[in-house]
Amino acid sequence: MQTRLFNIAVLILLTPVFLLVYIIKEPIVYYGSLNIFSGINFFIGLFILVNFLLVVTTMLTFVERRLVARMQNRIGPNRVGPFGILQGFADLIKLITKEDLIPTLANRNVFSLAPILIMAPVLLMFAVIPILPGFTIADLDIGIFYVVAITSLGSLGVFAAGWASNSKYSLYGAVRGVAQLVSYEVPLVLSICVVVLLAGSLNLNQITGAQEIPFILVQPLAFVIVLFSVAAELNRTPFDLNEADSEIVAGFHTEYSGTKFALIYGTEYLAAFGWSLVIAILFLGRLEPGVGGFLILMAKTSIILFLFFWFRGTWPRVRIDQILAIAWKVMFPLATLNIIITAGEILLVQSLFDLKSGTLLGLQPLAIIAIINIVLFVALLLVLPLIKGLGRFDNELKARGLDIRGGN
Amino acid sequence: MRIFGVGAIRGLIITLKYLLRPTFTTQYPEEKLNTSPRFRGNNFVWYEERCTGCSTCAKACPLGIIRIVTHPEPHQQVGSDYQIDVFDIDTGRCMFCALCVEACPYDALHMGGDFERADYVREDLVITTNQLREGAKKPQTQFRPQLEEIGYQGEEELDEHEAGRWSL
Repeated sequence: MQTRLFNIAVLILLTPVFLLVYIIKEPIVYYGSLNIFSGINFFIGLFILVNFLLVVTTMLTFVERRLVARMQNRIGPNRVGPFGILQGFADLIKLITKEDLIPTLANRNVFSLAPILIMAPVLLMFAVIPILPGFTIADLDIGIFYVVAITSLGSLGVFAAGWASNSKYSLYGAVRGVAQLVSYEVPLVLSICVVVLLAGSLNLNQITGAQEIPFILVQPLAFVIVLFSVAAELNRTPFDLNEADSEIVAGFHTEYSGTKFALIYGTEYLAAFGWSLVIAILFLGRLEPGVGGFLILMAKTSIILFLFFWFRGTWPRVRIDQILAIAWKVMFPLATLNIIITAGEILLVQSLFDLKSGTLLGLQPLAIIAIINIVLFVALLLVLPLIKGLGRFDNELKARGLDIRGGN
Repeated sequence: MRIFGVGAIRGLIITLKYLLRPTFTTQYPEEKLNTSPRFRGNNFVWYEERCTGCSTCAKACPLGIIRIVTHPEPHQQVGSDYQIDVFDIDTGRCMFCALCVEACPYDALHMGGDFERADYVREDLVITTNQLREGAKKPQTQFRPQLEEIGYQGEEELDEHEAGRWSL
């Protein structure tokens, strides 16, 4: 009964959220000469999109388990369906039919609302992401800004979940989550600003259109910073302090079970998929029209997703002080420096090629910027080890309150 | 010259190598690993023709779980004046130390190679006389050097003439 009521509540609460997107979206979105997302088609499109996303999410849980298992010389789930590809659906069915427990001392309303607060922003994020050139639900001019703003709302849900559970582990997870998010939002946004500078627009369609050269070559540093910031924001290893299972059980979702847990757990993978899509659009070249273009985009997204799974299979978790130190002492200065240097480079190529400000940079200006930035990136990799306090042992000993250079 | 991030990338390459390697996992119900020839499985191989009902195994058992009932009836088995009525082993309490196998003077009792004997009721764990009579005769080479000498790997069925140190 509780579960059924909860499912209805999810539907009721998610509907106005999509209506909101419908209101704020540009009145007409064209794909070719066809007006696709208007009237009843909007809802059909949403239905297809949301179901596609949920299937992708379920599949991703399976893919990650298989990949990480292979990295540990195991096989992974292979029992449900051919090669076990239905494992995610089996898990989902199991979770939905499980008893939906609410701890006695939990704040019931906030506890039930939190999974929706976590899920909704991530679903909303897909409203502005172009899958084909010009093919989005809402072609916002501030697309990437919208993505950053709306995904930050997810941490509200995380904190609500952690606080309402009335459990020390949940609260620790939530507090860590918020600290992490506040830290990593800054370098993430600054690095996205670099891309915006190069493209001259916040609109995701126009950003992809501006990539004569994929921006990963033009801005390798920004790509790396965005990749790690996103990993931190998604609570993925090595930054999964939110739900560090060896320290604080399962972090903010320790007390959750059944459908609510399925929502939270699925959202992690949905967010990973969404952010991989965004990174692929920001950095990995143009969108191509047609079915082939869609498949190419999915391939690019899979590469980024594979990177996240790869990190998960390889690196150990870092401590909370290390995580904040990386954000504020390394990534933030580098991102700031990067934005200043890029601005200078753009001014340089504009004067070299007689471009007016506001026009798109062509192939040659981008190539020049790319060469300068790659040289600077390699130089940075060589200079960073020389800086005191960045080495492994320095940090390790400092954390224990020991002075590394003699004395006490 | 040190390059920033090389250690992390080296770690990534290691996991990538592992990703492309074959796995170690054995898919148990479909495929099974070979056990050692000296494996002390949780069944026993008993040759009634070799057994004299002397109960040395029952006396050697530290747990006292071997139950033997005999009655005098001359010349039923080789060198025996006893007919065996009951020969039960309660493997539910057995610790598979193979002391009964070591104790048997006539090489009538051997360890078996089976390890799939999970059951729902404790009583079902008792190996009864009939089960011992009809079970597969694949003795393991635990404390049976004569089997190792002929290169036996514990996989084929042996009859009562082949299993012991001396032929009947």
